[in-house]
Amino acid sequence: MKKILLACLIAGTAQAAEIPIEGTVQSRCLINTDVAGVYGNPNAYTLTTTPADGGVLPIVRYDVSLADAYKARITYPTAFSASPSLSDMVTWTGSVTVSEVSAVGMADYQTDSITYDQTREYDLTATGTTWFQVASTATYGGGGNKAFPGGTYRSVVVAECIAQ
Amino acid sequence: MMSKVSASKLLALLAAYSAASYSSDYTYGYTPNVAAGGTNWNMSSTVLGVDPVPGLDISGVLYRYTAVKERQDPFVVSIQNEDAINGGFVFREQDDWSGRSGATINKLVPLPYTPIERWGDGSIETTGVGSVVDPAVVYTYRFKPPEPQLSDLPALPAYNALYDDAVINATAETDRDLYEDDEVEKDKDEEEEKDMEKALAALQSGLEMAKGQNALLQAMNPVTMTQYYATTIPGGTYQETVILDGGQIKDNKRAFRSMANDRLHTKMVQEQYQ
Repeated sequence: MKKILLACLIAGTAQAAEIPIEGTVQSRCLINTDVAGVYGNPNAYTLTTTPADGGVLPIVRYDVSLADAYKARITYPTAFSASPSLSDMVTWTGSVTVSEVSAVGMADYQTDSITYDQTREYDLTATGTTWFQVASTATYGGGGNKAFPGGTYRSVVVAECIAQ
Repeated sequence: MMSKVSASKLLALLAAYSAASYSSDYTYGYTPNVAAGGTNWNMSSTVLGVDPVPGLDISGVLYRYTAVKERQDPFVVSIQNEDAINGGFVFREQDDWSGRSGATINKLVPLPYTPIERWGDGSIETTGVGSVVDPAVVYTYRFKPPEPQLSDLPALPAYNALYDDAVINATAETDRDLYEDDEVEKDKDEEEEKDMEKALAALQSGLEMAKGQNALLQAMNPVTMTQYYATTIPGGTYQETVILDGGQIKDNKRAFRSMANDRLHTKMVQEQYQ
């Protein structure tokens, strides 16, 4: 009996165990593209998402289920992701605005946002859904109104949800 | 007026909301924009697009509008429906924009299933300084046709068995004469049958007796040919029916040879006894 107990003690001192701990964090900030943008071509040297010029404004939706935890950071394009070969300079302009909200508490998101370079940043202080609208305009020729070469042009809006 | 883009957004929100609650017993749907004609509306079939009949339950309200106001101004927007049964409001959602910038709000308000009977007139009311632009209100609903009640069934004429032809025929007094006639006929048939059997038996015995008498007469007159002479053989003249094709018959030489051999053989056999 003593031998058995001793063996157990010896074995106990020699063993080691690694106990895993796992956890899953579900994002409480979801980003979804509600409307993909389209460039209109009102003249030879301009591509724009302005609806009056034949464009479609892209709309991105943020669904937040935890208030005061995230920031929405949205950057309008400053380059084409796909285009014909361009030998001249492209001038980029754009804007990001709150188009719709699902709660009155989001009404001041636009007023309270900050902007730098081509990026606008919003504090997501309320739970619910916020729709952001992005405008983008590209002008070719560096002010010289040079015609864009024919082809397909694509650009990308970057939308991020950043934990505070 | 509600734009197409805003309507599609409302419906997208609706689809996400209602997809999880489908059941085969119910029909689910949504109304058109009931605020298309203004900020006051009734819950008639022309506005809702469905008949407001029992079995129709409202399950949610989606609304969208743009609040136009200065940030510092007080402004409250109420979207509501009167309670047609209990008084007050069956649904009321208030957005207090006071001290906030104006914006476009797109909101879904889920509700417990509420019978359409309770839903009175709807409206968008505002208090304070500001205005509502491009309002859109859509109700989501489910509908299950109510089970037919006994009182809903159409009145049927009362059944009176006294006028039922089948009952009248079944309960009519039985005509005994029909049975008696049948019995008389039956008796007659049986008697005729017995008479026929008797006649056949008499005939049979007569034939037997005749046979016996003939045998006796034959025994008494052993040579009598009378009955053979009296017998007529059926038939008559048998005409030739075979027609010779061509009119000539050739000699069968093989048969001749065979017959010559036979005669020679017979001659040789006969010579043994000479």
